[in-house]
Amino acid sequence: MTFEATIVSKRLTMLTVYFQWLLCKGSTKVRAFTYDNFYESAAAQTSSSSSAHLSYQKFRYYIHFIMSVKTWHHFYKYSMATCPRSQGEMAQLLKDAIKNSARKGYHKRGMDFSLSQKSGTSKLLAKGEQYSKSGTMRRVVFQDHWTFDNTMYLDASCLMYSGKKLISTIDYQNTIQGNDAVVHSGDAMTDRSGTHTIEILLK
Amino acid sequence: MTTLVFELSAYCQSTLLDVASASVNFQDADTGDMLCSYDLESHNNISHLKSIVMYKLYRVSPNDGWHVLAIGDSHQGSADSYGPIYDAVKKLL
Repeated sequence: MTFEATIVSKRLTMLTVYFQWLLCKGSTKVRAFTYDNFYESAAAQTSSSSSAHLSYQKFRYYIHFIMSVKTWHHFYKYSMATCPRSQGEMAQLLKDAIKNSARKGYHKRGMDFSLSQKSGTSKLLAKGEQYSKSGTMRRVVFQDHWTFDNTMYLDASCLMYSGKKLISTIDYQNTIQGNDAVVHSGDAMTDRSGTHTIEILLK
Repeated sequence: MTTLVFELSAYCQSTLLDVASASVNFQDADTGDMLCSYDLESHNNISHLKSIVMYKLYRVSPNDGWHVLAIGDSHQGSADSYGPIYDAVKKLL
């Protein structure tokens, strides 16, 4: 539970460790040389050069792993720190952390931790993760913007259900539902790009 | 209304490969808080497909608050042929 509640800060920790490990080593000269090499060959970055120290592919894989970390064991591994040897030791570590936090006044007894998490959770949501803003959300906007070489449409649609029953599908041609509760902008096009905006009043 | 599903799709014969670049934005309109972001550029491996089911906005009961679930599954289907999308979304309800 503690793990899930702090997943975003853990991801940030793991990313920071990875960045430092990847980029902050050697002398300035060595770093400059690495960058030169990387950017020189950036255009040619393919599978053939994936053995290079800096590589788009490796980077992408690593980020993917970081985003999928779900256990303390993996968190320690990707933070390049030593994992506590047993579950008991881990539990003790957490209990001590809570005691210390209370003593320093970082939290109070009975505090609702979900409130302090709220604002930070949204931006790093991965597939299948949830974000709740119970009660407070009244209006939401979904917008997509796309560019093209040959005119095409990346349609933004909203499928509305009551239980398992489809009530309505809002898109570029079916733009209004229920006394303007849902409004689709329709196609907003330039000769190189398009935008769709869907505004929803939640009741 | 209990569930709203947001989806992007390439129209008619085009695929996600025909999009030069794209960005999406899902916000609380009153506070400006971003509810969920999605990096479309990172999905090279699905570019031959036509649609992405992005988010589910739902509530459990009428008095309940709304929740956002990030989905990010890609499928066939588009705004001129919703069939495959409807089939896929059925499993999410």
